[in-house]
Amino acid sequence: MVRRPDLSAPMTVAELVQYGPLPGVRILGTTGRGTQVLDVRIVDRREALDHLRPHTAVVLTEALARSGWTVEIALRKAWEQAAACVVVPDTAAAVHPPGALADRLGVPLLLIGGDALEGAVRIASAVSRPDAGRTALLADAAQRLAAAGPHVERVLTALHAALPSTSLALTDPVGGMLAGRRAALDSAHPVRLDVPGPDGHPLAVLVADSRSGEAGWASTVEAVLRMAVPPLTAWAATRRLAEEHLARRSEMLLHQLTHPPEGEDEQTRTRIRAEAAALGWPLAGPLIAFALRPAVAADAGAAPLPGPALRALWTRYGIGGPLIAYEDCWVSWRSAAVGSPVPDPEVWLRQGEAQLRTAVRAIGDHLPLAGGVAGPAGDTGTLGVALADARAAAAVAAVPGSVVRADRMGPAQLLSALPAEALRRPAEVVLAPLLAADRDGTLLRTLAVVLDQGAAPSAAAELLGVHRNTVAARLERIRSLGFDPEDPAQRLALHLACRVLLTEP
Amino acid sequence: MTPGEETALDAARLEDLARGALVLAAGAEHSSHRASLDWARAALAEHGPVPLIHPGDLGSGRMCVTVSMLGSSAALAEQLPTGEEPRRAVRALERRLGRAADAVVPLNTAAENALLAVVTAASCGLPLVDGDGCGRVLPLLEQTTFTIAGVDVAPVALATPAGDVVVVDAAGSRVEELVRPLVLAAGGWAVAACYAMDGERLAAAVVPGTVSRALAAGRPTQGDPFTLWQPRPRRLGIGRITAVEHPATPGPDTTGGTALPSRPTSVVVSETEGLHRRFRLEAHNEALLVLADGAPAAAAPDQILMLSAADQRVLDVERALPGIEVEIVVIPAAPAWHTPQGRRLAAAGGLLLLSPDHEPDARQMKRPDAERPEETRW
Repeated sequence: MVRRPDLSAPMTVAELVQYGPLPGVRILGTTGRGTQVLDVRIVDRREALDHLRPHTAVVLTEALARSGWTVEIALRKAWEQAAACVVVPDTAAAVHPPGALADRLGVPLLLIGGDALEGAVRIASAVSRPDAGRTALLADAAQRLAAAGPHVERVLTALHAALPSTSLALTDPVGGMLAGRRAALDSAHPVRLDVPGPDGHPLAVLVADSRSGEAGWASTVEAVLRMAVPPLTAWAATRRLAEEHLARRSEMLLHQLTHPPEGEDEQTRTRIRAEAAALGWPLAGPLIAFALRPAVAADAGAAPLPGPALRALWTRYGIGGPLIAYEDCWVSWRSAAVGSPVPDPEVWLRQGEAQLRTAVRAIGDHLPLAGGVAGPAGDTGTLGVALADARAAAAVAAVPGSVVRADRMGPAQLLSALPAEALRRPAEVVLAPLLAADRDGTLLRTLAVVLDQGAAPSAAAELLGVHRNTVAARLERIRSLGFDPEDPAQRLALHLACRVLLTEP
Repeated sequence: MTPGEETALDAARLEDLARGALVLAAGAEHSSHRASLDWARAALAEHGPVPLIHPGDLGSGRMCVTVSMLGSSAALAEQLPTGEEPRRAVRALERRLGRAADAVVPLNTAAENALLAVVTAASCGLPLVDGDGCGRVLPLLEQTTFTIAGVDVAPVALATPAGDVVVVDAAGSRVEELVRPLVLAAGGWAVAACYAMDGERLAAAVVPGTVSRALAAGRPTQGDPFTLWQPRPRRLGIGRITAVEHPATPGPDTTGGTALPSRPTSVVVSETEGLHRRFRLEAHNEALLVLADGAPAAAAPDQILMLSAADQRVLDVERALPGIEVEIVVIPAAPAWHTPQGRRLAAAGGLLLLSPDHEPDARQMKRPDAERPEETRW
């Protein structure tokens, strides 16, 4: 149910200021702003202050307002006779107008630009037809919003212009500042309105500082904000379309770049390279390829869903370069020579691995990822191969936050990429005699490490932290149970079973 | 004068008087005040202490004359007195009236005028009346309780430091206009002897006790300068000056290019005790009005003073600065000033009267220094 502002209730002092019938008005005194204004009285002689009616806006002429003490007497007389406020021309006001006294007496002091008599006429017309003022405000806001179009900054500018002395901000659903004035967030009397996205989910929140707790004003502010929702939703929709469009175009471009069709002419290739360069893609080799894979995405084949989010995170924490959907993961690449003085592929790869690990961990707080690094590719012609390698490495790096180099994929990493759950039962059958004899898992761990180390007992002993003879003794026991790590017929099955069983379920 | 009070002004009391005379003239020029004090010291040293008499003790058939400094007090420090001026002025008046003076009355007991009265009494060998014709300070020669009581200011005998003596006999309202150019022509200042009257009329018209109250105010050991004052000054409150403003655009009623000491000034004082009110003092030459939270708390012709809380000395409006802690004190004017005639007379000199009855009308509310140079205030 949309609350409509109460159009015909008498105007309050706060509304008189907010609706803007008074150009360049300033209000002093924080109390008494909710007082209703029913009448206007122009005062050009001090004696006239002795006979004021309640709820009157007392307008002092410039000649009277020029002496500060007369303004103070007017505030006092207004207080004594329950007048609504005292209005003086800004030009006549003293350097330090008596705001403290206005505060103390609870009688707001309005400083208006322009002539006192003109101000009095404006107040009189606003007071006599409060609905006209409110309607005019809504109409003005509608026109400004229509002119602004679906652009968030312009919408907020239009709102600020339509609601004088009101601060507005656009925040995300949890309150993070997106646009506008921060002052709106500290408001004591905020007006909030949810802005739904094109998909109907909460997109953002419009917050206005209504400055005063008056119910009438708050509902007017809300009515104005409500008019701003469609352009903001439209803004989000156009932005999403553009994002989608860019993503699709990038995918196509990367494909064209890495898979040049047979017989491609020079002109086409130049055009594609120019387009890629325009997007800021590194094209000069050698190139280091990166791949990112959401660690939770189990369904292979589908492109990872959180594209815009990942793109935003990559922009913030990533190592630069584009981020493009590539089969079931995301890829990026950068020029290896940048920031690396030594022309050594090993150095480039190590550096790339370290950088990607940092990025993956930072992004991991928001989105669990695993990464792969490959390369270097000599130029864009071989970039496709490097990207495929990086993707394969990322597929192997199953643990969130881990990064694997394509040229360093060991058996353990390959094996750990296997679907452990499906293979657990067969592995238990294969190793059944060993498991039966192995109470604390020592034999299983020893067998796995020995197999990892290519059946070299001394290397295994070092990794296990025991004496070489101990490993030899354990191997002897394992052999006695019917398993021989050096038997080529058994070795792969044993290694596989050990790794599957050692993988945490 | 309370019983048991000193009845003679000697050299020591003179120092008290000099200090106490500044209560009503905090803005007095330091150099001219020093010059007058030196003059009075010399006169007392030469002629001995001056007897102080109660106005009521004079009785009928004895004539007293009022003395006042006319012109610029600054000129006094530049053109030092010969010492003969007061006596020559009194003698000229005596010759004009054909009778001898029996006592000297100060026009007001503020700054140079209090000391001049002592000099006159000493050099003429006459007693000094404990009282004056104003009870406060007003700029014009005719603004006295004597005028309110119907005593004529004329004839006025002027004696200048150059040795001239002029006696002006004019219808009351024209004295000021006649005397002013004379004083300017004479070099900037002169001593006037005027308001000759007999003791009985004096007793009815004078503001009594002003000399002894100035003596009390100037006594060095006194913390409160107003202990002996009757009626008791009203203390409005203690606060800190938070703003001193000079209206940026003077209104059309202050044209005439008034010089510095007389520009309109507003002093805002935030009360530090009690109700924490906001006082606003409106001053033009002197504080004319004080508002407490926008409501008039006191107005001229009552005298509004700021006492520095640190030393209980009167703080001149021109020396008010934000941060100074002050006490706002109101000294009620003599009752004669609150009569309709008194209020009109006080306003004639330019004193802006802002009391609830809205007198006087706009014509009389003209600023004091619009047409008249500052120098002719005393």
